[in-house]
Amino acid sequence: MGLLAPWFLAGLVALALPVWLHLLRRRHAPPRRFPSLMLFEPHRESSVRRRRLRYLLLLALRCLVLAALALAFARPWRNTAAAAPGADRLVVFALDDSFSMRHGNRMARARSAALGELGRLRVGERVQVLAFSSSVRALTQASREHEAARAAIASLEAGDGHNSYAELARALRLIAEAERGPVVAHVFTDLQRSAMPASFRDLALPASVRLQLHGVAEGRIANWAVEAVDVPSAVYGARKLRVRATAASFSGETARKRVQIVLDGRPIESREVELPGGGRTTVEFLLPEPSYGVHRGEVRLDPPDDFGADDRRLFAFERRDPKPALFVHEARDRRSWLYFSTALEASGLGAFRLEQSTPEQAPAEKLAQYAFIVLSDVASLPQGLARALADYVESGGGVLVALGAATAARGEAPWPAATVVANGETHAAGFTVAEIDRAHPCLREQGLWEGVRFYRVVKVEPGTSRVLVRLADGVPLLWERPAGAGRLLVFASAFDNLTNDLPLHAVFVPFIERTAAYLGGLDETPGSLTVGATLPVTSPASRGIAAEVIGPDGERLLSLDEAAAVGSVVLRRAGYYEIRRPAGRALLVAANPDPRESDLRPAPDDLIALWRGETPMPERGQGQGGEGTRRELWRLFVALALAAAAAESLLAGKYMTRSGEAA
Amino acid sequence: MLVRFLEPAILAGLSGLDLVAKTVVEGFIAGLHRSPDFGFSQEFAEYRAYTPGDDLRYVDWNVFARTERCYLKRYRGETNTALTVLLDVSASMGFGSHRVNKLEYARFLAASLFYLANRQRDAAGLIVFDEEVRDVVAPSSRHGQLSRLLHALERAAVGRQTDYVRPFLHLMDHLRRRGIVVVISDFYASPAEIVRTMAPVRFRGSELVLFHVLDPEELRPAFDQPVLLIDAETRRSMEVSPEYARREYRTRIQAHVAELGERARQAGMDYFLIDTARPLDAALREYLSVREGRL
Repeated sequence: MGLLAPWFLAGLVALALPVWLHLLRRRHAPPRRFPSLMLFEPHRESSVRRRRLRYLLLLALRCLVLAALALAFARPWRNTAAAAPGADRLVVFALDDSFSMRHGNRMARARSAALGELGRLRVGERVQVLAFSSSVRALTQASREHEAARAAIASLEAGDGHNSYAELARALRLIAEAERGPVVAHVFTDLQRSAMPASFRDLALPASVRLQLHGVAEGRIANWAVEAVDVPSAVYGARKLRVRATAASFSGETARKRVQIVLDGRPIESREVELPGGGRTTVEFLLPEPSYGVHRGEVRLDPPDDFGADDRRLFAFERRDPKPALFVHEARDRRSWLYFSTALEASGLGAFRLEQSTPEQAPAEKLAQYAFIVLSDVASLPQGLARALADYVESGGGVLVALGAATAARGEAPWPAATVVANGETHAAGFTVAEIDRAHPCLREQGLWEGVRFYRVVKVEPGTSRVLVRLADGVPLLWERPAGAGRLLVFASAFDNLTNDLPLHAVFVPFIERTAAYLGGLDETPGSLTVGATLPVTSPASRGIAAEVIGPDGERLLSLDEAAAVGSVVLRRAGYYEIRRPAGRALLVAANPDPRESDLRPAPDDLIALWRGETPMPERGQGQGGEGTRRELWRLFVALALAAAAAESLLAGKYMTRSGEAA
Repeated sequence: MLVRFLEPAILAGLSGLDLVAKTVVEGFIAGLHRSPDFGFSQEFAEYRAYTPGDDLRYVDWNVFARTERCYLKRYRGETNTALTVLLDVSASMGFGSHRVNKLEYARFLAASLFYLANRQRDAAGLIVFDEEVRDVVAPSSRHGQLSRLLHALERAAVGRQTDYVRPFLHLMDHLRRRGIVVVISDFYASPAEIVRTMAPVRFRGSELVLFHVLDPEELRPAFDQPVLLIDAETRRSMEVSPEYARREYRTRIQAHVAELGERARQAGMDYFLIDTARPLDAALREYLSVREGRL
């Protein structure tokens, strides 16, 4: 027992108040002359005593209300487990199945040790089996059936996840909260240093949990691993593939290793590198033009070490042809085409092949073949082209409309229908950009728009559109209009370097690149992810349409219902994941173990000892005086105060009803 | 000042009663009932042979002249009786829960009795007492006696404790002839002791009437809250709950009244409980009606 805020006990002084009031009431009993007390026998005063007794009961209730409130504010606590040493305990077997447990026979030792501990338990003792890595999974429920626990332990294999002792501690805390009795947690793990949380408080366990760590690591191990591979997820056109691989050493010695690229099962190129002890080396390969289609590649480290599972790292990419994009401009406006096409080419995106056309020559019937369309300050559109643009956007196409001098002269945008509010006055100094919506994909990870000056901006009321860029005078510069399944951006200026100087600034190229990628629907999913990452399965536009996810073993990860309802899938194992989307579009993603799992160094002994409880932990050092779960009792005292207040109210009301006395 | 004792309504109520036919031998209204004693009167009753020692003034000399025998001539005399009121003015009599306290009510009652006696030309006297005899007006039927009595009543003030022994010893010393002795008190004493103290008066041949004057608050106390009761005479205090006053006390006061009435009747006394909330004429009418029934 103890108090967290004992200074609130000073509130017990308030107990004097009801006592004083009751004394006052007794003193104020009105004296009254009576002819004779001859007929009031002294022993008959018992009725008066009874009344005093009831008064004392009222006084006691009032004192109880105040005392309970003072105690509630003092926040008393009680060690419940310590009070029940013989309570039914729960034995938890937590086995580490993270990627590092693939090293040697760690997993086998963990299983063996766990089965040994399980065999030493008394028959009928409650057990539960957990497996933990980046998350904790309950393999069995708390049960007295040891056979089920034994089967779960025996069948457990190491996975590809990253270990997290903080997650394990959190799970044990939840179990302790649910359990009334003590919990004994047998943890079988390699005690990896990289699995320790940044804050030791995340490892804190309730006093009712007795932690028994069973280390299964073999001691100091020299390990080398491919830590990262940087590969684009798509290669467009006849370009070489640039692969950047990083090899890391988790050993104190310098080692010579061969880094090899394997593409679709065939070694392509290798390079000898020297890995300094505890250091990293980055190797860049420029692979010859790959064939069209999806490719599976990996970076290997030779010769393999004792922990061969992390000596390779997978990646995937697709060779595609650039998609055509259409740039529609007036015949006299050559400047916009020049700046826009140059910026797109300079971006290195390579995903689009930009074509130019005048409004009259635009192939209205073939718009669907274009990845995106740009209407650059077009004064008017043929009726058929406007209708085709509307259908194109409605069906999922992307259009960028730039409004320049031609639009301003006409008084309204040719498409989409929008009335020009005012043809912005020409300002010699120009307006600067004041607000940028950095959350939009077109403007994400871009440089500042400082210094860009807009001399003439067409003012169009954006309505319910999402304004992405706004000038200093509040005029919208770039906004996105909702348009069916497609994407429609409106730029209230032109790309001609006359109405603004945007094409002369560095931000112009990434802006055009991002905008083109956004309008063209380029998939931003990287070709290589880490196990535990979430992979988006469906795009917002295709939500509700089932996508198929094929796992590393060729099995379908989602049922049809899940595929239609779930927007993403968690990559739990290393390997290749294939996402088959509607309309025959497929995506290949490689999942690799977390590189931190390659660091097999164990956690420091003092940290382990602290976690075992061999040295006082902060949670246990607060004067609890023994093992047990600290349960705060303030709710109990608040309830007691409420009950006493209700009883006091009833009793006082009864007195008032009987005698009209205000208790 | 004297008029307030003689409320016209009270007198009108009493005059309406047919007291003549219904009063006992020594009634209130003199001249309308026959005295049990022979005395000096004009109405002949009988002759009795002379015996030595008889007063020669009562010898009928005409009979002696005719028969030479001495006979005493006796008449049925119209004699007045003496009314003596013993008024308790102890501190308890000063209690009242309404406009008229017990002592004032007792004054009204005594004054009414004195007025009646005066109308009947009966001798009337007064003894005012608490623990001592505070005032005495000897019984008399002389002119001006009523004024003296009423003045004595007016002087009577609330005293201290009650002691029935002293006034009755005083009464016994001065009681020359048989009459009616009326005791007006709240009788806060043991009924046995009260009756034992007053019984000698009855043995002297006098009629003894007890008027037990109680306030309604004494008969039916109703407290809203526990009160600290202070004895008017002893100053003793006691906290009393409303429940006790409503239940236990009422039982006890009723038992006290019943015991006093029973013992008084057993001793040949008349006992009347008078609630000061009741009209005075109604109380007197009840008393006179009872006496009528005893004729």
